[in-house]
Amino acid sequence: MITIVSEEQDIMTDLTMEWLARRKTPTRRIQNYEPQTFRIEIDNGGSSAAGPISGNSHYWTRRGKENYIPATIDHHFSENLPVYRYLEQDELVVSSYVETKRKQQLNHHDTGSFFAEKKNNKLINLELAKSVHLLIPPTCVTNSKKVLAQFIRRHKQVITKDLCAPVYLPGDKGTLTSSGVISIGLSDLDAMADNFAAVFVQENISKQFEIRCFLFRKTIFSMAIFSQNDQQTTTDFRNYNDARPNRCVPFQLPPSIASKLWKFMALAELDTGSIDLIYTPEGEFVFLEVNPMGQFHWLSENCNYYLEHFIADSFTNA
Amino acid sequence: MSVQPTYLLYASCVPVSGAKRKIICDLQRNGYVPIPDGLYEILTRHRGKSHKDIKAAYENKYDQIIDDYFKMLVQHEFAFACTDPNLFPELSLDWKAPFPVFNAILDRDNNSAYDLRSAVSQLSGINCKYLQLRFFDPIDGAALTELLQYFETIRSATIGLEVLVPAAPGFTSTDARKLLSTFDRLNKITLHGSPGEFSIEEVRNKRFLISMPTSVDSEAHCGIIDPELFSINIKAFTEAKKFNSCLNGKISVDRKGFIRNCPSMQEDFGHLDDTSLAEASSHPDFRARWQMTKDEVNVCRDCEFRYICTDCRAYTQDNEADGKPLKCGYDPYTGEWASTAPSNRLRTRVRAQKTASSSPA
Ligand code: SF4
Repeated sequence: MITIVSEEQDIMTDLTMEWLARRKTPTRRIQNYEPQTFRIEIDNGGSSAAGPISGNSHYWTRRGKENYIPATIDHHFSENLPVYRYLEQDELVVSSYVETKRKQQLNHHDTGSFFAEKKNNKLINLELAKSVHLLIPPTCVTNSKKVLAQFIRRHKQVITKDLCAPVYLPGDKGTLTSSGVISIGLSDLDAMADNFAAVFVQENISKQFEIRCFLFRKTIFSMAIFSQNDQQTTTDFRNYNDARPNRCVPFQLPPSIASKLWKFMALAELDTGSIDLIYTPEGEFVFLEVNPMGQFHWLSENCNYYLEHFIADSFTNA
Repeated sequence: MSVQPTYLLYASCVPVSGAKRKIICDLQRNGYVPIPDGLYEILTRHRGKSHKDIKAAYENKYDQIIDDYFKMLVQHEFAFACTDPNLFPELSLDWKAPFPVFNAILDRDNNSAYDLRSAVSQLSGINCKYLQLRFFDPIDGAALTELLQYFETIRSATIGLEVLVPAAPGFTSTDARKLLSTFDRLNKITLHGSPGEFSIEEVRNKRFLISMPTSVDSEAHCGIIDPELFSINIKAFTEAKKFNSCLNGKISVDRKGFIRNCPSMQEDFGHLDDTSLAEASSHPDFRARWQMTKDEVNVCRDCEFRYICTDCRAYTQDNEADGKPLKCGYDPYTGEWASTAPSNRLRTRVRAQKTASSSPA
C-alpha cells in the first residue's frame, strides 16, 4: 500500500495517483487534516502501533499532515480557543511519534515530512548552505530601526520577504497577504517606530536568471526562470505577469552545485523539497531558500519533465 | 569554464521548417512567428556554437545580419544571451498519458438506441478523462440531468465533460446554466442552432455556456483546419510529434451505436451492443490510427504547421488514408491560405470557442 498525505487541490498528487492506478498499485490518499483512527501501545514487551503507521510499502507526505483529533471534536472548537490549542499540542505528540516510528519502520521508503516543514527555518538553512560552501545573500533579521538602517546603508540594494510563511489574514475589510519579495530603502523607515516585530532583509542579488530545483529522494530537476526583461517581475518571479509569462526552461545544474545541494539536504534532514537559487551576472550560484513542500507542477509542465510519472515509478520500483 | 558568448533560443521556442516557410513555435506563450531561412539554419545547424563561430561559419560575410537577427530574437524574448549552452538542454519531446484512451465522443439523435449509461460507465472503467456528448436532435432537460446524476453515482473517472445540445423549448439556456452550476464535471454546454449571435458565458469558474447560431445536425461538422484552431503548447506539440493529433487516445460511438476512432471515420470496430469499448479500443487496427503523425501525411509532411495543427483522418484529399485534411486551405509550397479559407466570422467564433476550451484540467 502506498499512502499519500496531501491537500485536496494538489494537482501533482492527482497526476501521480493516475500513474499508480495505471500500475494497479494499491494507493490510499489522506487529505490534509483528515481525521485518522490510531492505536499506540508501549509496554515492557515492546511497542506496537496501528493506524496510518503500519501496512505501507511507501509513505509520501506531499503536503500537510494526518490528524488524530476526531472530526466531532475538530469541528466543535474554533482554532483560536485555548482548549483547541491544548488538544492540538497533544495531537502533535501523537503525530510526531507516528512519523518517527514510521520513518524507522519504512527506512528509506518514506518521503517528505510534516515536521521537517514545521521546523524549516530560513536562518538556520542559510547557515547550513554556507557551511557546504554555497553562496548566500548577506542577511539581517532585526527588530531595531537603527540596525535596519545600518544594514540598508551598508548594502544599498536591499529586499525584504517573509521570514516564515506568507501572510494570510482574512478580515472584515478584506484579506491581508504578503507581497512576496519587495525592495526596501531608507525612506521606507521613516514611518516605522524604533522597534518592531522581526524584519527579514537581504542584500538584493542581481541576477541573470533564477533557478528553481525540485529534489526528490536522489534526483534533481531544475528550471531557469528569466524574469529580468520584465519590469513587473524583476524582484521576484512570484509577482506573476500572466500575459507574458516569464520564460521558464529546463536547466542542467553543474555537478559541483548539485553535490552541494545534496550536502545541504542531508544537513537539513530533507529527502525532498524545492530550492531557489539565483544565477548572477558573474556566473555564480546563490542559495536563497528551501521549501520542503513547495509546488512543482509548473516546473514539471514548463520543462516537460513528467515528474508525476517519475515519482510514481520511484515508489513502485524502489 | 571558458566564456564563449552566444545566444540560445528558450527551450520552449522550437523552430520548424516547411517547404516554403520556417517558423518558431512558441510553446510557452502559445504563438508562432515566421523566420527567414538563414535564421532557421543558424538556430538549428549552429545551435550552441559561440556567436563568433556562427559568424565564422558564414565566412564573416553576414556579421551584421546575424547580429540583427539575434538582437531581434532577444528583444522579442525568443532568445537570450548566454555563456554556457551546456546548462540549457533542449526541451524533451516526451509525451505520456497514464491511460491509453483519454478522449471520447458519444453521438446521439432521436433514433439512437444504444445504451448511453453503459457507454458512460465503460468509459469511466477505462479511465477516460474527457468526454464530449453530442446531441443532434432536441432533448429533454430532465433526461440529461438524470444522466449527469448517474455520473456522480458511479464516481466516474471522467473529469471533463462537454455537451452539445440543440437550443429548443425543452432545453434552454436557463436549463443549461442550472446544470453548469450543479455538476462539477460538466465544463461546457454548447447550445447549437441558438437564436441570436454567437456568445460565450462563463457561468462559474471555468464552466462555460456557448450559444451558436449554426446547427450541428450531424458528425460532418468537424475536421476544419484553421490557424485559430492551432494548439501551440508543449503537450500538443510533443503529442503531434509522435501521434495523430486528432485520433490519439480517442474513441467514439456514433449515433447508431457503432464504435469508431471518430464518428466520421468509415471503419467501425463493432457495435456497443456486443463489443466493449475496452475491446474495440485495444484492437491493433484501432490503435494503428493513433500512430499516423503529420510527418506521414501527404502535403502536411512539408508544412511548417504540422506539429501545432489539428488533423482530420475522416475527410481527406482524394479519400486517401494518408491524404491531407480536406478542410485545410493551406498550401505549404506557396505559403498561402486559399481564399476559400473560413470567413472572419468563423474565425471569431473559433477564437471564442478556444478561450472556452482552454483546458479545465
Ligand atoms: S497542410 Fe496539413 S499541417 Fe499544414 S495547415 Fe494544412 S492540415 Fe495543417
